[in-house]
Amino acid sequence: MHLAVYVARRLAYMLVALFGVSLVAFVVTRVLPGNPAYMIVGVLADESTVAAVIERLGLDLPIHEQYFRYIQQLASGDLGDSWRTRNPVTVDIGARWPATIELGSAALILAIAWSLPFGIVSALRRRSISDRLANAVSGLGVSIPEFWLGLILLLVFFGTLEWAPAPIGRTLGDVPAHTTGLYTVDAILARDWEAFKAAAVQLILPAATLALVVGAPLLRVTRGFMRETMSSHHIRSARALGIPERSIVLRHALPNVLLPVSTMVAIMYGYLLGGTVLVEFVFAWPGIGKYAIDSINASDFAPVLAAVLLSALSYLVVYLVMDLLHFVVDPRTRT
Amino acid sequence: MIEARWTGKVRFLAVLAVLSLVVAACGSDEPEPETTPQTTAAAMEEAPTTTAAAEEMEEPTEETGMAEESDGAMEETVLTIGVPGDIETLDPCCANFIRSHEALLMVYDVPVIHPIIEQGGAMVGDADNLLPRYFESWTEHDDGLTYTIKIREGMTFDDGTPITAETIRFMVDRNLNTPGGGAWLLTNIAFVTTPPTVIDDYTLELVSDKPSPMVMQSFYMSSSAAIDPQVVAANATDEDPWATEYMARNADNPSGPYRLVSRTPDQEVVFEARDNFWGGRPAYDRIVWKVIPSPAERVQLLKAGVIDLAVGLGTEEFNALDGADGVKVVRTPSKNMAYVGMNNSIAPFDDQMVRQAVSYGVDYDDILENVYKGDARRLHGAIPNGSAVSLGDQVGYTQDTAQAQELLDASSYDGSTVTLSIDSAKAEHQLIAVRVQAALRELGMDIEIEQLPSAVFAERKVGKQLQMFVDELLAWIDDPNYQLSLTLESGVFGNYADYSNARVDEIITAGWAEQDADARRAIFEEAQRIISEEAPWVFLAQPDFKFAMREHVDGFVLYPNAIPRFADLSPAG
Repeated sequence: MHLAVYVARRLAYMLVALFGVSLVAFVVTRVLPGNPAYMIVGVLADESTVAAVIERLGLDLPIHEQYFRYIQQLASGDLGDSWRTRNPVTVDIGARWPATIELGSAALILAIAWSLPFGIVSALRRRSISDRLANAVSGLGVSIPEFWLGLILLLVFFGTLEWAPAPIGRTLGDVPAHTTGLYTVDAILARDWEAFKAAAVQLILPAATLALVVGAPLLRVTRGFMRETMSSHHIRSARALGIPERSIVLRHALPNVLLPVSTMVAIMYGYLLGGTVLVEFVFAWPGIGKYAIDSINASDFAPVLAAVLLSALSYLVVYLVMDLLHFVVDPRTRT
Repeated sequence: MIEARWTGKVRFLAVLAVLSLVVAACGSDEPEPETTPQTTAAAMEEAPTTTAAAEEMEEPTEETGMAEESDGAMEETVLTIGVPGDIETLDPCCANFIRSHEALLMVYDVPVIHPIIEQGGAMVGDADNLLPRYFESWTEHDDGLTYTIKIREGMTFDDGTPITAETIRFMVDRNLNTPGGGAWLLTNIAFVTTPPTVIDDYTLELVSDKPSPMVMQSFYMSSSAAIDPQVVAANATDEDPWATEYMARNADNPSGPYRLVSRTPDQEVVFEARDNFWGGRPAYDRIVWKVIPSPAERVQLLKAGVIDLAVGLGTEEFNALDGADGVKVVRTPSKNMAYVGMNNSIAPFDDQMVRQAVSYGVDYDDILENVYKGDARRLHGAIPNGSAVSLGDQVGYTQDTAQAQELLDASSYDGSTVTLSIDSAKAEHQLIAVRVQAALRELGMDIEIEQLPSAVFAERKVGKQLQMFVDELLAWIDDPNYQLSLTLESGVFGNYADYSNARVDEIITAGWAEQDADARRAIFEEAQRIISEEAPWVFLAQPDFKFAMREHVDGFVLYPNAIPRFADLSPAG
C-alpha cells in the first residue's frame, strides 16, 4: 500500500473517531444531572436570572440542536467559552496544555531512560539481582498510587532533605519569553539559562513521579518481549553462527523488541498528554487534567468536551505517528 | 519537640517505603493491591520572613517603596498567599465566588466598610456600624427614601483620573443593568431601581422605592466597587454594552490599593501596590497568590514558610497546624450557620412532628466536638448568636431521644428511607451527615447519604428537590430582614427547604419599613419563635472563622462576610 493512501485512510478514521467521541461526550455531559446555571447565578439571584442564563447558554434547546450548534462551532475552530474562567476554551487550553505536554514529555523521556535499559538487562540476566530489582521496582510502579508517590517524594526531597524547590507551579523564577509555551524549551531557545534551571528543577519531582508509574509497565513489556526474542529461532541461529552476544542483543534482538515497546510508549504518551490529574493536584501543576476536573465539578460543559476531544486527539495522533513509523520500518504492516 | 515528632513520622514513612520495596521484590509480577495513602507533613525549618518568595521578585526600584535592611540595601516586601483556586471573574457586578471577591477588594475600592474592633483577642469588623471609604458621608432625608451622598474628594484611578459622583452613578447604573449580586442587592435590599442623580462633582442623590434599613449596608460588598467608566466604554460592544466579558478578565485602571500586574491561569496572580491610592500606599509592595489546590500542600508550605498565609483550610488542616513553629491561627466566632435543611414540601418532612423529632434526635455535642473539634458554637435558631436580635438558646432544640422517639412515633413517618444529600466538595458536611445518619438510625429512621457534585447539588437545592441536605449560610449583611428574606420567606429563591409561614412573611414585610429598633426586635423575636417551633432546619452550629498565617503577618481582620482584605495586611513590627 502506498504511504499517501495509508495516511489518508488513517486521517479519515481519525475524523470518524473524533466525531464519535464528541457525540458520546456531548450526550453524557448533557444527560447527566448538573445544570451550571445554578452555580453561575449564585445565592443572590432569582428564577428569571436562572432562566436568562439557561437561555444564554443554549441549554433550553433540544439536545440534538445543541449538538448541531456545537459541531458548527467546532468546525470553525471555536471550542466555546468557559463560564468558570470567563475565557474562550481555546485560550484556557492554550495556557494549560503546554504545561501538560512539558510534564508528560519529560516524564516519558525519564521513563524510557530507566525502564528500557533496565528491562533489557533484567531479561538477559534472569534471576539475577538486577532482575529481582526490576521485578520490585516495576511491581511498586504499577501498584502504588501516583499521588501517594508524589507526596512521599515531596516529603523526602522538599520537606526533609530540602533538595527540591517548593511545589508551586512550573517555575519559581522568571517565565521565559513565550515561543512554544514549554518553559524549558523556551528558555533554551532564548538562551536564558537561569529560566531553564528554574523551570527544569520544578519539573523533576512531578516528572519522576510519573516516570516511575509509566515506566513500570514499559519495563515489563520490554523484559517480556526481550526474553521472548532472545529465545527465538533467529537468535539461536545467530548464536550458532558465532555472532558476538553484544551484536546479537543490539542488532538482532533489540529492533524486534522496539516495535511492540514503541506501541506501549505511544499508549503511555497518549495517557500523559490527556492530563495527569492527581500529579497536577499534588504539585500544583497548572495542566489540562486539573482544568478538566475543575470543569467537571462545575458542570462547565465546553471545557469538559474540549478536554475529552483533546485527549482523544492526543491518542489518535500519537498512534498515527507510531503506525507510520511501523509502516516505514516493518514491511509486514504494508500488506 | 515538634521536630522530633516530624522526624519520627519521616522515619516511619521511610521504613514503610522500604518495606513496600521489599514486599514488591519478593512478590510475583502481578500488581499488588493499592497502598493506603498517607497524610504527609514534613519537618520544616523556618524560612526567611519578609520575602518568602524572594526568588521570584524583581529587582527593587526606587518607585516601589522599600523596607531598609540593616546593611542599607532596600528590599521589596512581598506577601505570598496560598489559594486553592484561580479567580473566576474580575467583574464586580457578577462575582459569586470568594476568590473573586478577595481579588476585587484588592484592586477596587468600596463605598463603606465595617469599623475594626477587638473581640476575643482577634480583630473583627463591627457588623453593627459602617465607616466611610469612598462615600465620605451620607444623610438620610426625613422621607426615609432619599439619601444625599458626598463622595470623597482627591481619589483617583491608577492613571490619575478623578473618581467623582459620575463614577458612582455609573457603577449603580451598570449594576442595575447587569444580572448578578450587585443588581440583587440594589433591587432587593436597598430597593433602588434607578441610578442616583449627580448633584455636583462630589455629591449624589440616591432614592429608594421603599424604606429599607440596609441601603448603606448594601454598598459594603465588592459589587459596589468603583470601576472606570472609560474602561467599560472602550470595551463595550453592541452585544455587550456593559463590557461584562472584558471586565470579567481584566482589572484595568484600578481604584483600590493594588493593581493586578500579572495572572498565570491556575498558577499565580501578582498584585503591586499603588503609590497614588487615596488611603496611602499599602504595606506590602507586592502580594502574590500562588494557586495550590491541595490543602495538605498549603499546610506544608505554610509550615515551611514558603507561603505566608493559607486560605481555604478545613478542620483537618488546622489540626495539622497545631503547634507549628512560626505559624499563628487567627480565629473568632462567626455567624456562619451550619444546618440540615428538611424539605417542608416533601414527605416525611411535610409533617412538623417529624421535623421536630429530627431536631431532638441529632447529637449536637458530637458534631461540635468531633466535626468542628470545639471550634464552633451551637446554633439555636434562624438568627445566629451574636446578631443584635438573636434569641440565642432561648429557642431551639437540644438532644432528647425520648422526646424525639415520642414525636416520631406519633407522626406520619412510615419508616421509608430518607435521602440526605451533601455537596461532595465539602468534607465537613460528610462528617456531619454521617453523625446525623447514626443519630436518626437510633430513632428508627433510615438515612441514605447521597454525595452530589457541586453543580448537581446546587441545581437540586435551588430547585427545592432535595429531601434533606447539609448546607451552610453566611448572611453577608447582619440583619434579620436580610437573613430571613434570603432563606425562609415563602417562595424566595434561597428558601431551599421550601418553608412557608404566613406570619413570618408578614414580619419580613413589616421589618423592611419598621425603623424603631425595639419594635423591630419584638417582631423578629416572634419570627424566631415561630420558626423554631416549626423546625424547617436542624440548627447545628456556627463554625468559627479561622485563618492560618506566619507570625510575621499583621493586621488580619475577620469581617462579617468572611472575605479577607489582604490589602490591609502588613509585616509585623
